[in-house]
Amino acid sequence: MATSQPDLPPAPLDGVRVLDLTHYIAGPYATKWLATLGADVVKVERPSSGDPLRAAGPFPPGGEGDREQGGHFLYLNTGKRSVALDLATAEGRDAALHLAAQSDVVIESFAPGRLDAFGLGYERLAEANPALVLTSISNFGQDGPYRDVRASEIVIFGMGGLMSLIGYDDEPPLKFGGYQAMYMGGLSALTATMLALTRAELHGAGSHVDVSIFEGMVSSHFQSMVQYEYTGGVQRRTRAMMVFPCSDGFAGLLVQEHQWQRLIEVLDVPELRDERFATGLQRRENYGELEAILLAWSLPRTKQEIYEAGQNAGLPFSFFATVDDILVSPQYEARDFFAPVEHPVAGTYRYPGSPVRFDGRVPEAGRAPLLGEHTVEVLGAAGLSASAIAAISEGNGS
Amino acid sequence: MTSPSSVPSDAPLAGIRVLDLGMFWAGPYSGRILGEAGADVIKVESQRRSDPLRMQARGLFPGGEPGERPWNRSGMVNERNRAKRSLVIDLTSEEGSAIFKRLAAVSDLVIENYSTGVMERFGLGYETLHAVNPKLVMVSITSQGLSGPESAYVSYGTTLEQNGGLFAVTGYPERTPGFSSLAFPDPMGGMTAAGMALAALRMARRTGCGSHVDISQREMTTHFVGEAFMEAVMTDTAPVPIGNRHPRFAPQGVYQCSGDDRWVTLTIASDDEWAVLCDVIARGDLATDTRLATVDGRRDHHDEIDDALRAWAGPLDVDDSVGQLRAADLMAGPVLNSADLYADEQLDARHYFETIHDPDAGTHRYIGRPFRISGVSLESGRPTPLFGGHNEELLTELLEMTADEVAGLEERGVIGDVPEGLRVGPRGNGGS
Repeated sequence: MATSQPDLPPAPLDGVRVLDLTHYIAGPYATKWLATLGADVVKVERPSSGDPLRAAGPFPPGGEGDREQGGHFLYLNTGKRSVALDLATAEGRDAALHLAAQSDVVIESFAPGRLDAFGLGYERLAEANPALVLTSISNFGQDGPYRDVRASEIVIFGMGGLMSLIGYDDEPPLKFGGYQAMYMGGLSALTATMLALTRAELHGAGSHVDVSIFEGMVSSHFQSMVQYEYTGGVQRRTRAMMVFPCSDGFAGLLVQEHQWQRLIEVLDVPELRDERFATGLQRRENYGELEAILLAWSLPRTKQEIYEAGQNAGLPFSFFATVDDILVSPQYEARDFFAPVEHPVAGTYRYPGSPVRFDGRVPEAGRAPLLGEHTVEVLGAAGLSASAIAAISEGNGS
Repeated sequence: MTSPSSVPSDAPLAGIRVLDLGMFWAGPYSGRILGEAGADVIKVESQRRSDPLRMQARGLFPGGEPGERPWNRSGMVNERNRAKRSLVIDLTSEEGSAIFKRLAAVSDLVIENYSTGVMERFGLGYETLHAVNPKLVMVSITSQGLSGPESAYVSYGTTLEQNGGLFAVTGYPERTPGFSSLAFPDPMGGMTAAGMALAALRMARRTGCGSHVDISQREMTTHFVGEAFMEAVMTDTAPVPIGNRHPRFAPQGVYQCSGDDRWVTLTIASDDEWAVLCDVIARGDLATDTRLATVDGRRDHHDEIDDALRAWAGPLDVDDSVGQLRAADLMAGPVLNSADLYADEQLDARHYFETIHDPDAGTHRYIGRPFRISGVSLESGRPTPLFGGHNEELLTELLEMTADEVAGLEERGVIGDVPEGLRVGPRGNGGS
């Protein structure tokens, strides 16, 4: 969020300094939020190669393989500054410790134990800065028997329990697309960091925050968990309910029990008044017949038509939005959700913006930094000597 | 009944008071996170409009039994509303609305996830509350956000998965889109709202001025698949569902093992790992197959690789297959369900579950949260409050009402402890 305009109130995290030692997806998503909220986020990257996500794409035409043009990196690192530091060297570690001492928050996503091995563990950082919040994000947490188990998105997603609940019963369990475990881990880290930062500001106490991406998944399906605890029943994935093909895609006609009468009025299909469909239980028992009737209604209609027909009657009809549908959605357009972001190498594109507004203001994202773009500026402001900065920059080959 | 007076004075949110009007999931979950961190969170419901999950006919009750007061035994409510106090007050009455304003004057935060416009109809819109308490922060979690042509549209977490774009990249290729009953945008919305509330509270402390925080759950869902939109705008080609595969690495998937619905997941992230995998599954012929030597080649022949992995995993116990793959330092794991998770050794070692005694629902193990904070206990030990269980305590403590005044409110039906519109039959079943 831009903080420079004098007529605007300060951003929520104005004045908060964050040292960002994270890479890939979960950590950078957390610090993207902190930057969006107005914190000064300094991202430490390995010289020459930087955050490995830089190399992941998607790339614009002609930019294939360019570490300044990877779309996922550009999206997750808006509004940050980049310092190239090699934590494997003594100079790099000293500089990081120096920056940590002047920060309110340090966030890291190394494998558990690695930060300690760098000599930058919580004890050491807290010695330099007792009110510091250190947030550690890892796959399974900083301790426990799985601590060192290697895992990818699908591995954590499957272990977290969500996968057993998604998809058809006659197909394999299905993972959500993208990186939902990583994003939820990052979001959890954001909220946990805000809790610890609030404590530091109100009570002067620093702390070490331990975020588990796995537990982020387990915490995201309350119903199946409490169902097992209360009744012993294990919820399973099931066939698609109330999802229907239409002329240009798929629509969702899911309603609650008390909304069934209104659905009949909206659809205006006399057969639906039949006794076979009078209660939720009967509709489940006779779902095959119900499905045929609803399919005949949905097929000739467009998803937008169906969406509006339900919503105009207060029913939670939906449609399966493609990426292109959302890019041209009048609702997103009216709220300026997609805003152009200029980048000196990758060019200008419309990025997904902030889903949160403060008093109607959309926080401004800014752009992702070039690798090491702010090394000299940040280290200089932190009070490192010119010779130390020169040694680090030379070591970087920049 | 434990009150927040038992909260340690250096708990992260000690001294912060929250009026939580949340219903269903996203709103109540954010209130729970704040309550467990030491805030005084007051769940505000009315007899006429209680949290709808209290009153579900097919609710999840302990042992499948609704009991005498089913509204206090709903698993869906009890999982999301711990560490709060309960005030049941009719906000549609003038008296009730006036009492809410007096509470807002002594609170820091209001959280609500009604449909757009409901707070205004109660006479409790942000402008009104801001006039009563200029430092007050109000967080509104809505389907579409507070503005725009579709701001009045309604949804559930499950339907937001559809129109927010999550299913633009989720599904079995060539089949009707899959289905999730998870309502994933709801935990997403609750976690977001708690974080944003704390950011806005910080701003209020610094400026002396509160703000209205507008969270769109649909946009939040889109935010979680942001890279799909980057791909669309940068390459002019929008991504589509690829099942359980990975856009770059290959192979990746889920493979059935022996037993009832047991599966192993696997990601191979480099050529070296591919060679190791071929060794584990004893398929040296695949390791030397030049078509499969590169990730592009493996993506082109993914079906063939999947056949080999299915044949390998099929006869194995899932723990055996995971064990073999992990012994070779590959990324693999079992697909776990809720029963597995309650017995999981990692969750147990980290004390993830919290055992809580609830006067109406009994003693149970409830899910925790995905983070720990050193030096702070986030285990409140406090169950979801009984419906209206703190009416008198709150009105006397916070508004200095006398016992007679409280009794008067009860007589006039402004406050209460029994919800109207009970839809639970005597033989309500526990499953869903």
